[in-house]
Amino acid sequence: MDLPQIESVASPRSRDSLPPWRDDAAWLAGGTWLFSEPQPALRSLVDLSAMAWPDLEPSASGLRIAATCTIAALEAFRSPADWPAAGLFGQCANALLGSFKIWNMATVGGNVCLSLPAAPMLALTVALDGVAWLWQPDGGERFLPMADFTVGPQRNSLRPGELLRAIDLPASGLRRRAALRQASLTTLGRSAALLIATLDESGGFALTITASTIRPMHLAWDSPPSSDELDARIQALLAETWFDDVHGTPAWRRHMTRRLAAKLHQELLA
Amino acid sequence: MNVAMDADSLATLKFGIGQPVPRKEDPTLLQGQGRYTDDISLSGQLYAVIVRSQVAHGRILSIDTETAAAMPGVLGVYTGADLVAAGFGLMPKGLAFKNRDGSDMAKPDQLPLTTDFVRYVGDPVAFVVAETQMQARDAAEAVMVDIDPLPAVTEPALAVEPGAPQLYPNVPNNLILDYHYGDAEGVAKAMSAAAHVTKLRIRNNRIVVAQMEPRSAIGEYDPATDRWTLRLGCQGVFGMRQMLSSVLGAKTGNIHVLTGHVGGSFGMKASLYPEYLCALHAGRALGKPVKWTDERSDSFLSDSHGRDHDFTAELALDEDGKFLALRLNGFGNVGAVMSNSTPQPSTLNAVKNSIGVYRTPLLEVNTKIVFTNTTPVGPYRGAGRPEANYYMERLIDTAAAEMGIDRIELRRRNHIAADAFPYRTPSGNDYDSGDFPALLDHALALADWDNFSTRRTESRKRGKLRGLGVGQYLEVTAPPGAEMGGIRFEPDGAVTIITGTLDYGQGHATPFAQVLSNQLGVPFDKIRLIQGDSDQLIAGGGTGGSKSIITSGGAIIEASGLVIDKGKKIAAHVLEAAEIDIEFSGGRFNIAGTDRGIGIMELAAKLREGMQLPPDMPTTLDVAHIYKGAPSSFPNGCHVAEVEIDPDTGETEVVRYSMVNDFGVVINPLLVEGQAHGGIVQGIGQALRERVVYDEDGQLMTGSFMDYCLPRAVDAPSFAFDAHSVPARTNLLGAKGCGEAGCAGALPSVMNAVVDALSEFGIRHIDMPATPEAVWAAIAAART
Amino acid sequence: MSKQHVTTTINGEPAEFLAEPFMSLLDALRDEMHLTGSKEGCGSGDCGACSIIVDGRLVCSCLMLAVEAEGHEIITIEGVANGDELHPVQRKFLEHAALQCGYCTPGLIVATKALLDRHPNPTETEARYWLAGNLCRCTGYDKIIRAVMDAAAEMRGVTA
Repeated sequence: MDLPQIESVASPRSRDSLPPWRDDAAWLAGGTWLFSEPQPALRSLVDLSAMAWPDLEPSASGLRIAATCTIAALEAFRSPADWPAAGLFGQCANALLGSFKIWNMATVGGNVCLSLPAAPMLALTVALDGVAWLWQPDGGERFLPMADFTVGPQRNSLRPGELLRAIDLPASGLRRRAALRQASLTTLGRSAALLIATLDESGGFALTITASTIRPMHLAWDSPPSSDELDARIQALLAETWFDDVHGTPAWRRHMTRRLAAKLHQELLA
Repeated sequence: MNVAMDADSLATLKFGIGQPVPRKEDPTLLQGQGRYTDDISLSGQLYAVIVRSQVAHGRILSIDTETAAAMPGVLGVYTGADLVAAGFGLMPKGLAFKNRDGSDMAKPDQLPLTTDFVRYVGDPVAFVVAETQMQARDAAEAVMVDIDPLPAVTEPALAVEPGAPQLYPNVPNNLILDYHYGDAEGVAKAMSAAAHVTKLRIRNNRIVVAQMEPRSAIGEYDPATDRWTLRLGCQGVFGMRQMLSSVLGAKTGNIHVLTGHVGGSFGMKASLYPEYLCALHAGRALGKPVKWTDERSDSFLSDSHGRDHDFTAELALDEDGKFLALRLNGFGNVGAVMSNSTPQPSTLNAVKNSIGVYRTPLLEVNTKIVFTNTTPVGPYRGAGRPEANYYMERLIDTAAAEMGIDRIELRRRNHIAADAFPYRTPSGNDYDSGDFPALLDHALALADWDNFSTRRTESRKRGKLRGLGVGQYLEVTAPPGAEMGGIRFEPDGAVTIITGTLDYGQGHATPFAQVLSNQLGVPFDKIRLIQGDSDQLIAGGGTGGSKSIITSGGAIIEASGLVIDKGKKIAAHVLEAAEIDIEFSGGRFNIAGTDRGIGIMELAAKLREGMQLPPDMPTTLDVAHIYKGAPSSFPNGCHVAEVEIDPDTGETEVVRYSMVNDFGVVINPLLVEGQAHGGIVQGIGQALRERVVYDEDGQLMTGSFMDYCLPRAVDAPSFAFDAHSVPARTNLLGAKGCGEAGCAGALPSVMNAVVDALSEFGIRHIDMPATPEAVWAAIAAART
Repeated sequence: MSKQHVTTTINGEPAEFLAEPFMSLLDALRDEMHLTGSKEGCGSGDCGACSIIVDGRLVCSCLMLAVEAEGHEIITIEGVANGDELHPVQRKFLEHAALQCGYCTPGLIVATKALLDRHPNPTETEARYWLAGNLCRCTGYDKIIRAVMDAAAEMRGVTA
C-alpha cells in the first residue's frame, strides 16, 4: 500500500553517506512489512539496497548474511557439504507467511528486526548461534548474540539509530545436524509454533522455540537429554512465556511445542 | 402453473441450452481489460476518504474538521450533519417482519452517517474530499472525532440481557424482532411424546465475505439535468436506484446507476452503503465526480459480515426414527446497523430451508434478532439457507448416533418420496419436483461410499483419523419478482439482451445468450448483454437468492415470444402471405409448407434500412417486456466429504469431495459446476478456517488476510461432480437456481465428516470453525 | 514533496513516469501508466491480485515502491498475451472457465506464467502450493488448477 506520510527516500551507497538518524525514519530493505501496514509515524525511508552488500559471504569461519539478503537468495544458497545445518534455510523460507512472491522481496534483516514471535529468520539465527553485527549511529559498531536480540513481541535490543548490517553464523553452528518443525492453524498461516533442534558432534543438543513463545527460547544441553527431560524443560517454562493471539491459545501452543519437540528429539537422537 | 420445457425438445446446437459454452467476457478479463469501478477515472475526479470510529460504542461529543479542511488539496470535509442539511433522508430499514405478538419489528432511524453515537468500530462519521487520494488520506488523519466511550457488547445473548449497553434508544434490550413461526403447541406435544429428541446447540459462525474487489463508487451530480449518477459495484442497478431515490429524496428518473464488472459480492454488495451517499453528496457540493475506494483493512470493518446465528436445534423422532417435529430457538446477530435484508436469514429463511428433503410434519422457529456493537450483518451466499440445512443435517447424524440407526438409513426413512410432488411442507413451500432417494444413491455411488472403510484403514496406517460425512440439502431460492426482458436489434447487427439481474462472477452473458439463441436462432456471437445501466431498465430484481436464470431466463423466453409474434406479422407482409401461414423455426420465418422465408437477422436489417409498412404493423422487432416471475425453485443435492484428521495436532484436511446436484434443466454445465465449486470452498472455509474474533471492547482482532484465513489453493480438494436433474415444473426453463448450493452442501458434509472422524472419542458435536486448535481441544476434553 | 522520474521497461517497451516517494508500484502502474489490469485486493501482499514479474521474479507490486522500478524489466498482465493471441495459460483458463468475477485472474495468470516459466512440469500439489499466494473467493480453485495443468502440458508439447 502507499505510505502517504513519507516525504523522502534516501538511497545511500556507503556507510559515510547514511543520513543522520531521525526518530521518524526507518531502514528499508525488502519493504514487505513496511508497505503492508500504515506507518503514520514515519516521514522518511532509507533504502539500503544501494549499499550493495553482498548477500552471502561464506568463509572458513562461517557465513555472513547481509541484512538485505532476500529470503529467496538465502534459500538458493548452495552450501558446502560440511554445513548440514544450512538445510534449514529452505525450511525456514517455507515457514514464511505467504508464498514465493514474498521471498523475492523479504529480507533476513527485515524479518529479524520486526521481531514478531513467528519470525523464521529469528529462529534460524538463534538456533545456529548467530551474532548480529550492528552499526551504531556515531560510527561505532557492536556485536550482539542473536539469542539476546529479541526481548518480546516486536521488541528488540536495537538502540535508536542502530542498523543491522549482517548476521554471522559461525561454522561451528553450521556444522551441526539440524531439524525444523512448524505448526500453524492453517496450512500457510502464521506459525503458531516453530522449533529448531541442533546436535553437534560432541553431543551438544539445543532446542530453539519460537512463535509459540513471546520471544525465542533457547534451551541447551551439553549432552543429549532424554525425551522426558526435554519435555520437562518445556513444561517448566513460565506460563507467561506462551504467546496468545488469534493464531493459537497458549494451551494449544504449548501442546504443539511439546509435540514438535518430541518429533525433533526422535529425528535427531533416535 | 407454467409448463417447463421438454428437455428432449431443446436444441442441442453448439450454443444451445445445456452446452458447456465458454464465457463471452473471459477474453476481456483474462487480459486485464476488465472495468471494475476503481479502474474508471473520470475527468476532473476528486477522491474521498472516510473517517471511521475507532471505538465500538460511544457518544460523539464533537467532530473537528477545521484542521483537515485547511490542508493542501482538500476541497471539503463533511459529517452526518451536512448530509442531513443537504436533505438526505434515512437509510433503508430492512424488511417488514412482525413480532410474535403481532406488533411490528423495531426499525430505528438510521442516518447515512451517524451524528449522535458510534456503534461499531468502522462506523463512518465523516469524509474528506481532496484533489488526490494522498491528500484526502492525510487530511482524514487530521479530522478530530471526540468520542465519549461507552461499554460495548458483541454477543446477542449478552446484548438482550437487562443492563447490557443499549445501541438505540427505542430498541429496548437491543431486540429488533422476537420472531416466531409454527405450531408451538403441536411441536411441544410432539417433543414430549416422542421416542427420542435430539438436541444440539449450534453456532453458525460469523463470516467476513472477503470478495476480492473492495467496494468502490464514483458519485456525480449534474445541475443542468438535475441528475445524480452513481457508478459502483452492486447486485442490481434497478433496486439500487430505488433505494437511492428514497434517501436522496429524488425521483428514480433523476438517478442513473451504472455498474460494469464487479469483483465478487456473494450478497454483500446488494445493500446501500453510507459511503455511496458520501460520494454523491460531495459530487453535488463540489460539482465534480468524487471517487471512493475502500482499503482492505477498512473493508473488514465496513463490508457487511455474514451468518452469525446461534441456535439450539431439536429434532423429535419416533422409535423407527421417523421425524415428528423440528424446533429451532436462537439468536440472529444484526450487528450495529440494519441492512436491507435484515432480519430474513435467521427467521424466514430458517423456516423455509430447515426441513430440506425430509418429511417433517411439525416445525417451529423462534429467533431473537439483536443489535450488537459489531459490523452490520448482511446477506452472504445462501443468507440463511445453508445455515438452516446445516441444523437439520447435524441433527440427523447426531440422532442416528444416539438411536443406533445408520445415518444413511435414517435419511432414507424420512425422504419425501419421488412420487409425492407437489409436496406442501409445514413451512408453506410447495416443492414441485425432485428425486431425493435416487439422488442420495447416486451421490453415495459417486463417492465410493462402500469402500470407505478401506480408505479409513489406510489413513490410520499413516496415523490419521478419517471421517465421511453426507450433506443432503434443499434450498428454497428467492421468490422471483418482476424482471425485464428486453431484446434490441442493433444497427451493427448485434442483438442486445437488456435485463435487470446483475452478475458479479456468475457469467450471465453466456447462458442468457444461449437461451436467446435457442429461442430466436440469433447467432450466439452476435448477442450482447446490458444489465448494469438503470436508464435502460423498466424492471429489475437484481441478483441474489439464486434466481437470475429463472427470472432473466423467463423474461428472455417471454420476450422472444413477443419478438416472434411481431416478426410473424412483419414477415407475412414481406413475404406477401397471411400471418397465419407463417411459422418460425431455426431463426427463420417461413411460409408453412414452402421453402420461402426470411431469416430474423435479415428481417431486422430490412427494418433498419427502412421499410414501407402498413399503419397498424409493428415497425421494429425490439421488445421491452416485464416478466412477472415464477415461484421459488428447489435446487437440491447430496454432497459427500471425507476428511483426514491428525489426532495429535487437530489438523483437518478435506481429502475427497463428491457431489450430485439437482439444478433442474442446466443451461451451461461449465458455469454451473464452477458455481458449485466456489460455494463449496466457501463452505470449507467456514467449516475449518474462517474465524471472526472480537475482543471485549468490540475491536476486530481478525482484520486482515493474515489473521482471517481464507481457503487457498492448497486448502481445497478437487471435486467429483455429477448431475441428477429433475426439471422444475414451475418456470419456463425448468431450471433450479444453483448459485448458493455449494455452501449448503459443504457445511454439513464437511462437519459431519469431522464428527464422524472424531466419533471414536465419543465426540458428538463440534462447532465451526473446526480449526486444529478446536479439534485438538475437543479430543483432549473427550479423553479426560 | 517532489516527484521522481522513473525509467523502466514494461511489457518489453520502455516506459517512464513520475512518482512520489511514497507511491507503490501498483499505483504507478494503475494511475500513471493506466495499466489497470493489476488490482489492489489487500495492499499488504496477502492476496496476489497485484502480482507482476520483475526481472523474471514474481513479486507483489503493492509491496514495492514505484521508484524501485528504476532500471528493471516489468511484466504485467497486459503483456502476457502476444498481441491478439492469448497465451496458452489464458486460453486454458478460458476453456476451463477458470475465472468468475475475474478480479484475481490477472494475478493468477501472471503467477502461473512465472511458475511454468521456471517449472514446466509441476505436479498438482506443486501447482497448488505455488499459487497459494493468490486468493480466489469465487472458483474454489479446482478449475484453475486443471487449467494450469492443462496449460503446462500444452506448453511442454504433450497432449494432456
